[in-house]
Amino acid sequence: MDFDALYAEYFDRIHAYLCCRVGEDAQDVAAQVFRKALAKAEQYDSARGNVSQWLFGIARNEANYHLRISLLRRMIPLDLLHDSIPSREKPVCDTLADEQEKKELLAALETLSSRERDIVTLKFYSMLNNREIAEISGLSESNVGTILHRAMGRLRQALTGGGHETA
Amino acid sequence: MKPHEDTEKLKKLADETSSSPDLRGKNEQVIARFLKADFDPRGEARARVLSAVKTGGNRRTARTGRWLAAACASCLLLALGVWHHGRDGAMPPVPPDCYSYYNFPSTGDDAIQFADDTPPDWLADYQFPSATGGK
Repeated sequence: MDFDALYAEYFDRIHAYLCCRVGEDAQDVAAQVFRKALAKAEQYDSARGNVSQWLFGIARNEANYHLRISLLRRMIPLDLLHDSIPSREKPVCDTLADEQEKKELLAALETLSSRERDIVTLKFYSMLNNREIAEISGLSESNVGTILHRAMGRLRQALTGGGHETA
Repeated sequence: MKPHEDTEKLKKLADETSSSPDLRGKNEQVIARFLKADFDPRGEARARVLSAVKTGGNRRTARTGRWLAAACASCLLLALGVWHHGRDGAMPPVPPDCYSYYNFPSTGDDAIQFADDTPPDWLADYQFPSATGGK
């Protein structure tokens, strides 16, 4: 597996997914994702899924792990750990060209639950179908469809000011 | 390839996330906004992450290790606090029946005796003033 080609093809999508999941720590987590991909490239088995599925599976696990550690970090606000994040790093999502657009998108994602945000951003950026997302997330395919349907309703409400579906 | 460059993918996503044709247009608008958002317009993140991957530094592991060490230290301090509090809260070295209801003097003569060790002498003449002023 050619790592440079893999990186060139998938970085933007992985990075966008992580920006939506973990915000300002997206670069850290993305680096961890590609480190793992580089280290475990020989373990990739095409019979178990395509490269996108494999890479986004790693990204999803790393994002979930990061969010759990962040929760712990908020519960134990110890000063001795402040130097672990270099001050030279700016929040990655501040580099979005359109600040207002960024705020609106992130605010819309805030209206979703953690699981909905995970599934809907996986859908947007991984380009996987519902069955492949179900395999990554451990949910059933119909459950993924239901979560996507509900999340899209909330995103429509937040971003277009309407669009609730009448059952 | 940027995600927004592929309009076919956008249409496919809109189809897959829309249960009715009425919502398809709105869903397509929502998805397009997410796909068009460029989270790394200057390519700085791409270069920085690649550099971090190639140099092989595992900063997160070090950070996580420090957090776990801090969490363990906090748990240890908490356990010590609970243990120490338990020791302070032990019963004083007195016979346990002193606290029993029946043994505890209340208002009788034995209570007075218990309190100041003065013999009850309520019937002494000098404590009962007579009609002549106690004489």
